[in-house]
Amino acid sequence: MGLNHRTAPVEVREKVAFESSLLADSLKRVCSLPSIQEGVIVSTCNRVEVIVAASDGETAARELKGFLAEQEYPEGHGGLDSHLYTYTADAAVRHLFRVAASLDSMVVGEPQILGQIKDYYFAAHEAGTVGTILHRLFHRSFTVAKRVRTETGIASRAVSVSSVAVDLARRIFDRLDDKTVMLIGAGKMGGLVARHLQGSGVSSLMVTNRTFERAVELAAEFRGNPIRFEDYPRYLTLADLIIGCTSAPEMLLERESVERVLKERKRKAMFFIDLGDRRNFDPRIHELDNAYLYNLDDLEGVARENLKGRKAEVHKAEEIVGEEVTAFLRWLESLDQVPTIIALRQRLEEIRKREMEKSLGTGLKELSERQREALEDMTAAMINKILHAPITHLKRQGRDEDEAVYIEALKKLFDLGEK
Amino acid sequence: MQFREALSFYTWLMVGIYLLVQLKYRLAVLGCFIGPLAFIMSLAAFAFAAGREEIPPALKTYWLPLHVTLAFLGNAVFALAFGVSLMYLLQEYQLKSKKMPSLYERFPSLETLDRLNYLFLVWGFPLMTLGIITGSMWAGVHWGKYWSWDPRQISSAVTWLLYGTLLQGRIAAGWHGKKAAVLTIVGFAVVLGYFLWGDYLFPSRHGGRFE
Repeated sequence: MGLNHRTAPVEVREKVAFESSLLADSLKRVCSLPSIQEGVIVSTCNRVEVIVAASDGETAARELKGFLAEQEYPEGHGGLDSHLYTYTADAAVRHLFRVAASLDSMVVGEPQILGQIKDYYFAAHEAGTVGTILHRLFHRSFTVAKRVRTETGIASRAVSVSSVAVDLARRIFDRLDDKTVMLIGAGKMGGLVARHLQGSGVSSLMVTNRTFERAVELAAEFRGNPIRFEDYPRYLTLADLIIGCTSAPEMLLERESVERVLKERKRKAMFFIDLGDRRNFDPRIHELDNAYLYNLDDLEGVARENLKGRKAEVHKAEEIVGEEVTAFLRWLESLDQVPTIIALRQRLEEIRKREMEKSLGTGLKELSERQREALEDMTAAMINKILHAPITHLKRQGRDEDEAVYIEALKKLFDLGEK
Repeated sequence: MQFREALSFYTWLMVGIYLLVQLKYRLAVLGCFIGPLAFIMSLAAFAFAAGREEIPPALKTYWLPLHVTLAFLGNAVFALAFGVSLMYLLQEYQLKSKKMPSLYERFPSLETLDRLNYLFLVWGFPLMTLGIITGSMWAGVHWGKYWSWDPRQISSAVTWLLYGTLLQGRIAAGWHGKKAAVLTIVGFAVVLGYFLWGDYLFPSRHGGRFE
C-alpha cells in the first residue's frame, strides 16, 4: 500500500513520508497490527509505500490505512484515501518488482530507486520486521532489477546531457583514464560534464578561463591544472576532449586551427563539446576526420532519443517481471512446511518398509515372530530419531528467515518433488 | 584441393581465429559480421558439386599444404580486419551523423576498433607474405618458374602491395581511423572477389584446375 509521484502531489508525499529517525519505530508499529506478520517501509521523495506480509489481505489493508492515517497530512488535497493505492497477492509482488526495476519511476530506468529499496529493506531487516516471505520477496526484486538492467536496454541509454557526453566519449575512446580534458570557461554545464567525465575515469584535466584567477579557482575545484587563456591553444594538442562553456560572442576555435592541431597530434581523435551560449566552436570542425563536435542541442537530441528508446524497452522488462512474479508465487505456494514434513516421513517409511521386506524375505527368513516385531520397532525408532532434529527445527516457531531455504533443501535432498 | 574444400577450410580458419580473438577481446559483436560471412561461404561450399578430383601426384609436396595453410591463415586474419573496419565505419558514421540507433550500442569504441585493425594487419601481413613465398617456391618446383604472371599470382601481388602500403602507412605515416578502415575493406574485397570468382573470369593454373 502506498502513494507515489503519480497519485499524490509533492506536498502530500512530503508530509506522509516517514522520518528516517523514526523508521524502526514505525516498522515495529506496522508489525504490531494484528493481521500483519512482516513489514517493510519504503519512503523516498517520489513514493511512500508499506509492504507487508499478511494472511488476510482485506483486514490488513484496513489496518494499514489506519496506520497511514496516523502520519501527518497537509490541509486540502482531499483525503489521504484518494491518493492511496493498494495491491494484494500477485499484483503486490508485480508492483514491487516493477518499482525495483525502475519501471514505475518518474524517469524510467534510472537506477537510484533500487539502492533506496535495498536501504529500506536492510533497515527493516535490522528492526527485525522482515520474515521468510519478505526476505525472499525483496531479494527476488533485486534479482529482477538486475535482470532488467542486463537483459534489456532500459538502463543502458544515457538520458542526461552529461551522461550522453560520457557515452559518446566512450564510443570514440577505448578508455578514458589516459585521456586529457580541457575545460574552457566557467559555465555551469561545462563543469557538470567535466565532473561526469572525471567520474568515468578521466584523471587529467586542464582548465582555462578568461580571467586567470577564476581558472585557478576552477582548477582547485576539479583538481586540474589552470592554464592562462592566451596559452590554451598551445595546449590543445594534449587535449582529447575539449569542453567549451563560455559566453563569448566570438568563436573560440576555427576549423583551420583544429586541423593544424590534429596534424600535430598525428590525427589522434578529438572530441569537442560545445556548451556555450553562443557557438564556442566552429561547427565545421565536425567535418574533419577524427574530430567530433557536439553542441548542447545535439546532446539533448540524443538524450531525447534515448529516453524514447528506453520506453520502447519497457515491454521486454515487463515480460521479465511477469516471469519472476509467477516464479515467486510458485515458491510462496510451496512454502507451507507441513506437506514437506509429511512427505519426508512417508519417504523414509517407504524405504524402511521396502528394506524390511527384502531382508525378511531373504537373509532374515529364520527370525521368529517376536524377533521380527523387535526389528520392526527398532527400525521405526531409528527413523523417528533421525527425523526428530530436522522436524523440530522446521516446526520451531519464530521468524527464522532460513526456514524456506531448509524446506527447499529438504525437498531437493530427499527428492520430495510434487507427485 | 577442391574449391569447396578450400572454402570450408577457409571458413573454419576464419571462425577459429575469431573465437580466439573473442577470448581475449570480448568482441562478440564482431560475430555479427563473421557469422554471416562464414554462413555464405559454407553455403557456397555446398553449392559446388562434390565430384572427386584427385590431386595429381606432381602436386603432392610439402610446399602445397604449407602454402595453402599460410595463405588461408593470412586471409582469414584479413577477414577479421575487414569486420572491424566495417564496424569502424559504421560507428564513425553514427558519430558523424549524430544519430544513435540501438544496434550499435554494443560496438567497441573507435579507438579499440582501430587498434584491432592494426593488430590484424600486423598478423595477417607476414602470414600472407609467407603464403606467397611458399606458393612461389612450390610453383618453382612444379612449374619450373617461381613467377609466371598467373592471374592468381598477380591478384596476390596486388593485395600484398595494398596491405603492405597500408601497414607501412600505419607504422610510418601514422595512418589510422577511417583511411585505414577503408583501405582494409578494399583490400579484402579484392581478395574475396578473386577467391570467389577469379577462376571464372581469369582461368589460371591455380585453384581447382590443375594441368
